[in-house]
Amino acid sequence: MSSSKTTSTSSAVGFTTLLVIAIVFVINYIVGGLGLGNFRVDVTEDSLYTLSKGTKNILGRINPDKPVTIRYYVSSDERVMPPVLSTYSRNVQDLLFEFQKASNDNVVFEKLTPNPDTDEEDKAREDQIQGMQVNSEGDNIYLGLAIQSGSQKEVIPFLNPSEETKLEYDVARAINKVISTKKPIIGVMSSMPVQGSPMFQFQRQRGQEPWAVIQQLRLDYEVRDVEMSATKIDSDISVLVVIHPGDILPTTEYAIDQYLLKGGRLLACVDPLCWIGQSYNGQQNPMTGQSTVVAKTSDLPNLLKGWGVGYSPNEVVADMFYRGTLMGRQNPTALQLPAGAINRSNPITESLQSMTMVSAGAFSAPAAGGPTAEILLESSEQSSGIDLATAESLRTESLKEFTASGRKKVLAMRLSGTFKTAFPDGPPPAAVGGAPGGGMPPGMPPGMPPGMQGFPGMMPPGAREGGGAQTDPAAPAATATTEPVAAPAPVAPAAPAAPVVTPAAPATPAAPAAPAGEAKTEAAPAAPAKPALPPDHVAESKGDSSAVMLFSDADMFYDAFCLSQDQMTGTLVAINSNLPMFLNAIELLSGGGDLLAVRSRASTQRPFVKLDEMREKVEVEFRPKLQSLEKQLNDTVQQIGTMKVKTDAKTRTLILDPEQQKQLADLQATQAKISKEVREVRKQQNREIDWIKFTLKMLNILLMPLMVIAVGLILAMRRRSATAAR
Amino acid sequence: MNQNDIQKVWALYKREFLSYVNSPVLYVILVIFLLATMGFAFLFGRFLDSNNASLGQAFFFWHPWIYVVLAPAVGMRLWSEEHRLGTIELLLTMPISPWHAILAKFKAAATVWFIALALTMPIVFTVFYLGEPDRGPIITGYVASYFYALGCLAVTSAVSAFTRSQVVCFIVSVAVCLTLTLIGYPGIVDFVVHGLPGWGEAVVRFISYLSFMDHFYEMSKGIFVVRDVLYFISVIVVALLVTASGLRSKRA
Repeated sequence: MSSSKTTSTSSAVGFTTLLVIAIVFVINYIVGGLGLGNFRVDVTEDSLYTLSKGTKNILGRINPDKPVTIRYYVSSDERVMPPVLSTYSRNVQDLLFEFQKASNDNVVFEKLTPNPDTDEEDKAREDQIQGMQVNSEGDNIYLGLAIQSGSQKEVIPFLNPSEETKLEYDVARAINKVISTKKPIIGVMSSMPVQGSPMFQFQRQRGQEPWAVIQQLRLDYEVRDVEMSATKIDSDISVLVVIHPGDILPTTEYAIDQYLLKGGRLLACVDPLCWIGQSYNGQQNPMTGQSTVVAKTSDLPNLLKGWGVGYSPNEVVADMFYRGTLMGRQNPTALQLPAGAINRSNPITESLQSMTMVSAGAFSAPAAGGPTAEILLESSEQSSGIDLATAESLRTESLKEFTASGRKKVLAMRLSGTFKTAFPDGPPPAAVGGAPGGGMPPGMPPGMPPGMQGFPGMMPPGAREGGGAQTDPAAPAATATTEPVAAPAPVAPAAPAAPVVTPAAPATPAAPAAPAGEAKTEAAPAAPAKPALPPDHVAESKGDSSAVMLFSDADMFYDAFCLSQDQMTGTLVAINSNLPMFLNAIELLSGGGDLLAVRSRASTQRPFVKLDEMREKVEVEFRPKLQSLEKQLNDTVQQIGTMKVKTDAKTRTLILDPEQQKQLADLQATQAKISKEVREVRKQQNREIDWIKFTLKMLNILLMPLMVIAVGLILAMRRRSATAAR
Repeated sequence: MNQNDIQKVWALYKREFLSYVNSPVLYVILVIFLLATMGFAFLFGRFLDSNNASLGQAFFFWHPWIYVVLAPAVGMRLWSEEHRLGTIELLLTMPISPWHAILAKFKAAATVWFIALALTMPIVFTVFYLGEPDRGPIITGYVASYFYALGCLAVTSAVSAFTRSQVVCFIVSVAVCLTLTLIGYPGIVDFVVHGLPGWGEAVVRFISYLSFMDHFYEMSKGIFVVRDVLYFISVIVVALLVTASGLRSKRA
């Protein structure tokens, strides 16, 4: 073989090799660089990275004559762009490509790279994309979206990587918003300042921010404030949100009832013990100078009864299995509901992962004949109802006695179907001058002192409406003028079973402003012992339009229980599915089913269920022991307390004879001993969990290496004996 | 490849694989790999305290760094040993093409990594025992991890074709793998970009697209993206091509 031939062969081979390598590079470039390789197979269980049907529906609604432009701003300069963000920016881009593909090119995608000191940086600023300064030279990075159709524009100023799962929803929501022409109206009624209070500069008080849920609502809806004393709910409100209706008036309940029956939709949060409401108490309202008074408990007594829903405002659900922490303490009334407690077959709750509820109440579903109920959230079987005083004491001490009811408690549900009025006898009378009767339950003491309304725990439930009515001077006047009232006529208490009264009284159409006395005289001959029904009174809902969503907690939608501040960016991020749940519910009720299908895969958190179960099991085992120890401790402390009562009045010193001194010393020793035992038991409780964790750790870390070593040694020994035998 | 060739490759593969099984190196590397993956996951990653039934953050996160060191340790003997002992001549005089030998040896080393990954199964059982994990990302995570190992292994194979010293092969391979892992990092990119004129930035950005890391993370999240799979396959193909030309240049 001549050397020249070898050289030529090897150079030919080398050339082939280089050629192949070049081809590989080119293929990679074409596939990766030009975006042809964005074909993805999404193998996650919830198809986390595939566009959902709702998004596709929204994209399908885009008018081809009014295309949607997505301007994607992403800094590309690697000197300033953190790697986390550049990786994320590629995911965003891939998802936006999916949007473009699914829209039949009705979505126009533009990518801009606003690197420092470029024209595109100016454009980013014009579009209100949030720049983040990354170095001392003042260079900004951008990662945001501007979505525009015609003159309508939506901006997502910064795309936070920790909210990746919400990205599709954010984009779909923005598109939905720029292509829709009219915003639905959401009415909000609450005994708390959920809408915030305006800044009042004269008193140098900062206005309160609205609750985050309300701020979120304002992004997509027109939010309208509805007074707690309202006697009519505007029919153009597509969803009425009622949050903690403490001291609600029967007249207001009637307004809600009629609104619902005329095809309205209601989202109501009642709460046996509203922590947030308590914290508002005593605050000065800068507008009126009055201090805010929020009832501890709320109820919709007549409406719930009318629908056949059971609810006790004196009972808080304690759940040993789903318990979480509240103010640094383990608290069985702070419910941490995992996916298992959430209805998996309802579109609004389907892919919610975890919910938080604080001191929630329990509902019972209506019996047959009432509206159809669908349970959305429920507690575990390790739960029971406890009274309000005990629930409040859990702030500082742990629950001593607990017997699981063995039944799941309903925490939230959705009612649909046909609703019958809770006021078959027509509107309840406005409570003028403390006149008894009407829709009020019997047993109400007439003339409750006005100051009492803030402390509903001190009076029988149901009496609150009376107290509330008297303290609100505007309410009776308003009711008298806007509603055709048949007040002083004797009225049978509202009962769901009462036969539906047809509006037989021809007299009632008399001018609504007619004096009450006149109304009475006209109504009396037409229907003796029965009140006249106003002409627009509806006794039963028609069609499927009416719907109710009930939650037994109002705190759960307060900022602190749904959001927390992100360490990196300082923006608020969701800590659970409470906020998505609220928005889902509003969207479902306001008829935007498409958006609903988008968000339903919000969170990807999958907790260690097994460890929770173990924790519960261990605690059940130890609870009796702990209880008896704590009881002993209490007894000892009490004994010491009674001894110390004998003091010298003059010198204020303890007078103890030697025997008592010995006794005291003994008791103190016992106290120390018991406290130590309690600590030991608690330690032992933790020890079991720690032991399981330790075992898992050791098994994982050591089992396989030891097996590998064993196999290696066995093989080596066999080899040696094989060679030795030869 | 006809039937005969497959038999030859199979025979060579068996010989190579058994030589791994018979050497203590395999066991040492397996033990180190298992201790490292599990140790990182459970001790540094605080897997049990994370209360998150997924393997992405606590487990797969560490794999690239482990492969950067351990894959060259498995691959360094691929060709360097043959060069040193002179058996390369013998091997290549056998009635098989160099490509068969390259494939057989690469597959044998790849099998070692397959075993290593299979032995991390306890963590999968653990995560299924503790919660209800999403199967998809676990599967893609393992595939991505395996691709990463094969990528590092292929690079090592290419390096070992050029040197007769295992130590040199190991050090150079670690350096190359580390580079391929790190080139996506801004600190490094900065350093390079500052020393280059304006046009150099585009080049640097193109190079950073070649970083192993990006392609790994995409996949470990639960999505097979065509370009990522293609990227790893390309790396393996290119590295094996370089191996072939390296062997040829040694022989010539």
